[in-house]
Amino acid sequence: MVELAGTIKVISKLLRDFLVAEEYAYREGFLQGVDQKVKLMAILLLIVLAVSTQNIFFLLLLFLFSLTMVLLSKVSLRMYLPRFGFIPIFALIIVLPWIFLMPGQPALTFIGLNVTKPGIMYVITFTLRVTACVSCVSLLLFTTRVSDLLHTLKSLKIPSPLVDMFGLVYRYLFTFLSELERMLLGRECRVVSDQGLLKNWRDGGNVVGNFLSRTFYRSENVYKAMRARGYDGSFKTYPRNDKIGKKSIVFMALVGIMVGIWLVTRL
Amino acid sequence: MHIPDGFLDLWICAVMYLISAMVIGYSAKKLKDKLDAPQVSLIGIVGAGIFAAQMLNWPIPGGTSAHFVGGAIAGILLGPYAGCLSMVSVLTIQCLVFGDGGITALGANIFNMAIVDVFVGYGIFKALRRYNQDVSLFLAGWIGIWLGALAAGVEIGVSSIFAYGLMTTVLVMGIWHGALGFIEGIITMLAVRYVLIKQPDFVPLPKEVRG
Amino acid sequence: MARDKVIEAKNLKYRYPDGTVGIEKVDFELWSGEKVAIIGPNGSGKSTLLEILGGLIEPTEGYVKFFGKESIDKYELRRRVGIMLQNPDDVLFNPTVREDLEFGPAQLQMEKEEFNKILEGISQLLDLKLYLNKPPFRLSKGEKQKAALGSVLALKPEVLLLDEPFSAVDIGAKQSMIKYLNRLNEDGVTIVVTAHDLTTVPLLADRVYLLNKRLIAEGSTRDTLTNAELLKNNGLEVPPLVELGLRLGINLVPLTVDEAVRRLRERFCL
Ligand SMILES: Nc1ncnc2c1ncn2[C@@H]1O[C@H](COP(=O)(O)OP(=O)(O)O)[C@@H](O)[C@H]1O
Ligand SMILES: [Mg+2]
Repeated sequence: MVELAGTIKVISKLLRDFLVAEEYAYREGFLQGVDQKVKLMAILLLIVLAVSTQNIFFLLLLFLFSLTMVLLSKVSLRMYLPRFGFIPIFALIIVLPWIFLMPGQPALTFIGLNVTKPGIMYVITFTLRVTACVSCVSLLLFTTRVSDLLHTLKSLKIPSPLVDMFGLVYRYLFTFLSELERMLLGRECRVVSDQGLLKNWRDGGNVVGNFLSRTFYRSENVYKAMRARGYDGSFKTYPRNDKIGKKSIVFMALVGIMVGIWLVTRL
Repeated sequence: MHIPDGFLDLWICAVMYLISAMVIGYSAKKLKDKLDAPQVSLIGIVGAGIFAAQMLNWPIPGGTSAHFVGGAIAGILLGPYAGCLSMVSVLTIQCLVFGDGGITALGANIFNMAIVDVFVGYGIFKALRRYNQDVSLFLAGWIGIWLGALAAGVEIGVSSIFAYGLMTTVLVMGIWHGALGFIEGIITMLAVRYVLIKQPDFVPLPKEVRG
Repeated sequence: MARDKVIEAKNLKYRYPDGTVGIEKVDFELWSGEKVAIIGPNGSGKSTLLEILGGLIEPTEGYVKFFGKESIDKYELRRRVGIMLQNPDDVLFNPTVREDLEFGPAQLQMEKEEFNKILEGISQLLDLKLYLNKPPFRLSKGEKQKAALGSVLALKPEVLLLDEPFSAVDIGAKQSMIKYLNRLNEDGVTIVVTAHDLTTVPLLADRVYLLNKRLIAEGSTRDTLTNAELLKNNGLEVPPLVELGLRLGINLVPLTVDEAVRRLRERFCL
């Protein structure tokens, strides 16, 4: 009893989001030109800083920093913000009760409940932190090609077979999504009457089972194709000449300034 | 169930990364003699299949819909170690390519969905299968995801960055995912049963599962 | 010129794990420099046979011998025999087309400079320049097929085994691929293709194996493709030109359009 319309909506949203981000990753912007390793580590560092501070000023600055990077990287904010906007909203809704729950000096009274100052501060800080973090991660999504990302993971000493698996997940996801869509549509065409709940559920389970066994079958064929080209346990690649260029140095300097500000706010 | 960045304290993130890395290392070692050739393609490609199947919408009363996670299915069909690596691959791609789940929270997300869900699901299936296969599959899916959600509840609950206390988070996650897990259980049962009955030779199932 | 035997297979049988018999009782011989087609309807075992000939699966019965050797090192085999599987989605398993082209040479440790030269040539020839940095799933089926062919050619194999390589490419690409394969053959590359659509066979093969689970017939392309009875009995469509030639009673039935034009000119003094 898979819901067809909903599923197709989910799949096409995933595809659209990915394709939009990928489109930007091919442009010649600022972050696109930064060395992938530098970029990945720097973004991780910035998120770590965000998670370990309570300073609203820093969090706001970090969010603005990420937006500046977006603009410098020729990514449209109209595409960028909606991509992750639901996460901060979700976070805000979850922690919103704390404007009442947090003990402290009341700021105002609202239907007989005290909204406290620390409560307001907490909710703002939390939401802003989530926003800044997710915005920083999205920088990665919008400016990095997946193949470069995987290559970077390898150069960061993540074991090759593991990264190869990541690559296969990425590569075959899209193939399987369209296969799944076709399977569902095909089933929809054949099912004419409403068959009752039990039959419906069993049908849904069969779709999943059938689909998954196809993936097993697929993996056998792909394995043959790998062996046909000399595969014996790890994807070897030619070394790439990723040099740390001017953009990387500028980016590192900018991130350095953010680290400096973070340190100052800790004093 | 993907925890975003900003919900977990840094030390929790670090601890979860460490635990997850250890289990991944252990799983890889367990597969060592097999992790060379067909395993890599099998794990990666079935992972892609599970990722795709996660997109299926299962309507639930009240107008919303649920998605299943598939950790128990991965554990049962691939065996726990390969299943774990398969889910690790899915979660990492979801995090780094699709922005699902935070980067600092990746260790925790892996622990909840690629370790707890997979190993618990597999363990339940293995322990209870001899009594009743369908029930064991249902419980594997249900309890696997439920314990994974409880783990998430604990991680968020002990984080001081997230103001709600441990009791609240564990209770909320436990009740919500205890209910949603029902769907996970049913799908696990139906899907694995289909594979075992219809195509037992098609799927290079681990020895234990083939029975 | 004395030719070497490249592949020799006797009494092959392959049974899939679920019990389906892929092929049985098939003998196959391939000589260096040949152009051979394996034809048969869907499910007749063409892919199964080709995978055995490429050393990707072991026959359940019978044996295959490569280059006259009793046993062959698997790297040597991979370097010398290139095989392209039927479904390009299986062949292209890397995140980008470029990495797929790179995969084989990098596995077998070809020098990078040499590979770069090959890459240049292949992407020129197969018109892949625009797709190199694209992920394979964003290509159309025909583009995928070209990229898959490229990724096998990148290894510079002496023997090329191609499983229905033209089934989805457009007519222009098909013609240029055929022309290129013929040129490779003149340079000494041995070529085996499978096909269920016979129109390309005369353009690319001198000798044909007709398969229908078992080996039905083996012979020159001319003899086999003009035997309408044989083709029909084995679920294959008689090529329209052959049909035309047979019905008109032309004594040397044409196989290609060029040939037909010549024959008809002669006959009707056009
Ligand atoms: N992986 C498989 N498992 C079971 N049967 C298979 C498999 N692959 C092919 N077959 C069966 O083997 C026979 C030959 O298939 P194949 O070699 O693919 O034929 P062709 O390439 O000529 O279409 C068919 O009957 C097919 O159904
Ligand atoms: Mg075939």
